[in-house]
Amino acid sequence: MTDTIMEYLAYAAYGVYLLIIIGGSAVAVLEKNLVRAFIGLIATLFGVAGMYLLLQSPFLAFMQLLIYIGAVAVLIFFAIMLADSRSDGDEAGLVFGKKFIRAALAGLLPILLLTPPIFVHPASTELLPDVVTVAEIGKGLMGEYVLAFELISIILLVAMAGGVFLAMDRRKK
Amino acid sequence: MKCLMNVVLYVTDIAKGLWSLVVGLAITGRYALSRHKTVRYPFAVVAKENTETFRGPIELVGLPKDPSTPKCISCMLCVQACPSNCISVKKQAAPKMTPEQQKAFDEAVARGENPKKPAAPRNPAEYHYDFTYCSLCACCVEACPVNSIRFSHELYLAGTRREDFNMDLLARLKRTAAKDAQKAAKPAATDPATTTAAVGAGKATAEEATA
Amino acid sequence: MQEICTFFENIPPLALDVLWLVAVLILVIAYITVCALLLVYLERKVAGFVQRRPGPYEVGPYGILQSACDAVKLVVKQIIKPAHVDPGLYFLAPILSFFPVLLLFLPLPFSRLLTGMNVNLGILLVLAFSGINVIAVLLAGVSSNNKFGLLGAARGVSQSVAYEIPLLLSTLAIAMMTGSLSFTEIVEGQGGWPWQWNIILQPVAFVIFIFSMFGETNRLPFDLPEGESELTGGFHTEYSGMGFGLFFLAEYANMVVVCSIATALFLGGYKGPFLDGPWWFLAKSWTLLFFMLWVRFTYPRIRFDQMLNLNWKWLLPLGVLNLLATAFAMKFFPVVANFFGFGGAA
Repeated sequence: MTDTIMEYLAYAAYGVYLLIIIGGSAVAVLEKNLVRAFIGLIATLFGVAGMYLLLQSPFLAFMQLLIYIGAVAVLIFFAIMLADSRSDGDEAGLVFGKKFIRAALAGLLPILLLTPPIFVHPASTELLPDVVTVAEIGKGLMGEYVLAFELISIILLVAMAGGVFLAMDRRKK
Repeated sequence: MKCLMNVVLYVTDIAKGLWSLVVGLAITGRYALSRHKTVRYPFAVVAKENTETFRGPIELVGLPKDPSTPKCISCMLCVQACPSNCISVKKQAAPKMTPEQQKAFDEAVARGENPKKPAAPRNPAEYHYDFTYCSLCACCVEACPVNSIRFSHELYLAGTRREDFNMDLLARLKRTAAKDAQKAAKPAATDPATTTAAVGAGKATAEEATA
Repeated sequence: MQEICTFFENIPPLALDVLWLVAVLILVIAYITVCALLLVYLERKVAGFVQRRPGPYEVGPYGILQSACDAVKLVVKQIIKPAHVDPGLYFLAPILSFFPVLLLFLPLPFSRLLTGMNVNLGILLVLAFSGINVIAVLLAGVSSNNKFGLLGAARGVSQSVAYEIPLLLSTLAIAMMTGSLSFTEIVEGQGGWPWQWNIILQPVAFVIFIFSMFGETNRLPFDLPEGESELTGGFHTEYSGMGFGLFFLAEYANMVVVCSIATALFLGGYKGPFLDGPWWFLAKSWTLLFFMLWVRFTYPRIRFDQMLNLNWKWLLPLGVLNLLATAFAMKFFPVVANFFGFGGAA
């Protein structure tokens, strides 16, 4: 009996997280006030963290909160604060025409790129998600996927060096 | 070699900085454990030797022989000196001559002499002082030719109405003189200001201000 | 006794879980309230004693009821909404600052059994949810339509983002040493006597943690987001009544949390020389809290650039070096020990 209750609860949680993600992203996209849009973004990130929890990977969920909400979102917000974030600002209105088409294309591109491989090589789904401990994640990153991991760190290093370079360049002027 | 010296200097600098944090904590810790310096006002008052340098509202100085009458000669210099016009003095009128005196005066005038009218007493009839305007600048104290004004040492002055601070300094002088006389009569009694247990100190001063 | 056992066995485990969670949340809220009241009282008493005056002493014996009266005042005060604020965001901010704090108390190990939720990733949970406080500070500053609030929020962001990194690095050193992210396991890895605590093996990490602890909780000498002397109240300038009260509660709760974490990570947690139990945990964490109050009334508030310099130029490199040293020691110490034929247990 408990199992069925748990299953229903899981469905309910899934629905709630889905609603949070969709509602949050809708607010993030449609809201004219940048600060409110930002809150929508945070709600979306929260919903995704919830999804990770539902998939039995609390490590990812907490990392999502720690990095995306605790650091990335805060830095985005910092930029918002320095920019003109009024709801009647220059770029506040809805976008039409060429811009809209370009934005839609940019949004669809990941879907177009990612769906064929998924359909060609469907991942084997299981009824219950595997519990992956932190140690296993670490071993995976340092063993099987070490190339990807190191490539990501190189990209980050390049980005950081570029940031420092740009900042230095501006300081000289 | 020089590089090494610099490194050593750097490290000792950091060590000194960290040590200064510990020193700061030690100082506040020592202070926290030492005796408190504050006085719980309604239950205790500051010792008299600490209030003696305090400039409270001004008061009149009595004559050495008759402490209930002020040295004041109603010269009005203090009224003029006051920058905020908080002192008002009323001179005493000359006393009316008795019929005999009047008669003698008239006769003297008739004889062609130049008799003197009886002079008005020098001390003032009224001496009002509005403490709400006073800035305690000591101009009146300096202006007084007979040193009849001084600062009182009233630290715990309190009142509930604006009028409480509109003081009648003559009445005040009479009161303090009476109190001093009482004290002189009973030398055994301890001075309330020096003891710390003057519970009603605030109340008493407030009453004085009202009167 | 038997009856109670059968009573609990008859409840379905799911309902038991829910009941447990509710009970834990109620206990956590009670603990936060008691802590906040006690801390406010202690803070004022410490301030008084350091400045050689008695502190609050009129309300109740030794003024013990003073903070309770203040709390009542805060609750009954009118909540004022300033003109031209965004009402949704304005009222969201204090709620967002307080409620994540409840979650932070769940994985704290008050004793071997007395933890709200024995999560394997306890440290990560605390670090993840403490980041939400920054967002609350930001929202409060931006939505309250006040330049002091905005400045306070800007300071709060750069400070919190900066001080989170050395905090992470110092906790990471401990996690690496113990090989676990669970508070209970980390405490179990330490002994009861002071020389068996992690502070002996990781003194640098402890110092870094203490510094970043002040930075993360916005306490003096790093309380620049509030900075009364230049920003009136910083991010909570425009909040009155319970709006301010929630920020206030969150600040004190955060203090309790960081001190508890420091106790668990470095000071042996609930273990003591004799009679292991929550009393040791409480004694140690409250000693640290007292230290925080003492520090507050000893040092002046430092300048903003000095604070960021301290973080980026000192704590961060030191944290990285400490982490590297820990890794090397863990890798090579057993080898060296085996070579010379001593120890070997590690």
